[in-house]
Amino acid sequence: MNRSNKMMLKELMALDLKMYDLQLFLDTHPFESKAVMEYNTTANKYMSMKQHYEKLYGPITINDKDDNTTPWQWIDSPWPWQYQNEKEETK
Amino acid sequence: MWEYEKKLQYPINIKNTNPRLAKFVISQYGGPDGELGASLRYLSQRYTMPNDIARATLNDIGTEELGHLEMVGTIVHQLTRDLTPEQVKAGGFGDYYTDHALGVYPQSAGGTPFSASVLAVKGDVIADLTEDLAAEQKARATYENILRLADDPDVIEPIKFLRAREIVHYQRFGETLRVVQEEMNRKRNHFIKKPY
Amino acid sequence: MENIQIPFMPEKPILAHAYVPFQQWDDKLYTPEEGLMNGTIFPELNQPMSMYDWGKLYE
Repeated sequence: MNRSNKMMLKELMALDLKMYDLQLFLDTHPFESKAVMEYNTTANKYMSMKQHYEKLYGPITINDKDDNTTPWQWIDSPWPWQYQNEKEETK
Repeated sequence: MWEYEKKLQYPINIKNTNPRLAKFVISQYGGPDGELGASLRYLSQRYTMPNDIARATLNDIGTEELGHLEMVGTIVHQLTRDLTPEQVKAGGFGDYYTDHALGVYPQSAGGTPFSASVLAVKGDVIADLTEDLAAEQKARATYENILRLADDPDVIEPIKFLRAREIVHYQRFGETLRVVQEEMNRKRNHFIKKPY
Repeated sequence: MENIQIPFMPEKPILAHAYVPFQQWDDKLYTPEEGLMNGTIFPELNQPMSMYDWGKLYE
């Protein structure tokens, strides 16, 4: 995994964490409309960044893809638990 | 039903193996206050929650804990990857290695295999939410113990993250309890006002 | 679902009941990057270890 892959993934993680934290907040504060707006704005940014990432580096989720090619990319390394040696550039 | 996202909730890249540290961290994988117990507890309690707020909270925190289970498993795996038998012996990892080699097995730091007896599903909303509040504090305390024993920043950063999430979870369970208490109050007042 | 307004702390607490303060929305959130680093998007919920360090209870 190269540096730009790692950096982009970290940005996705940051947006995702914001969304999940807002989701848990909204689960106990369902009438907080400011939080709903903040969630939607963040989700919008997340979705376009995710699309951009996946075009470059392959799928993060698979059940929303109808443009898969052969060979089936979903199986490709790295899987999230694999150690990424800085010196190796797999993608 | 669960979907899988091919990314961790927080980045984990551990440059140096350390089987000694792995044996401590593994407690948050299969130990009494670890993420496996947490996810199973919350996802089992959700069925008998009395309102939508409680159902959503138990569901969503339980789901997040599965992501944390993955993170802890990843840390243990990366700390023990490709260890030679010499490194295993030197790291005091021999007893674990005998039964599991370099596999990631759900057990506590002391070697007790995971058991559902570390969690309770009482079917009583006050008891269950109180259990959840306690569980989050125990998880936080365990992560703090691990932080005191770790000296590798590659491990410290994700562990700090996991600890922070427990505090947020405590807050949400506390809020869920408040909502349930409020609903119970209203029901009680309604019945008190009912003429006989 | 009815919008039951839950106050920060209850007006009439009852004995043998435990109460956690109900978080109020604040527009001041961390940036997503700060949020990832701190483990939460909410500054009030960023509570470092020192907050939970009871120190030596018995000297």
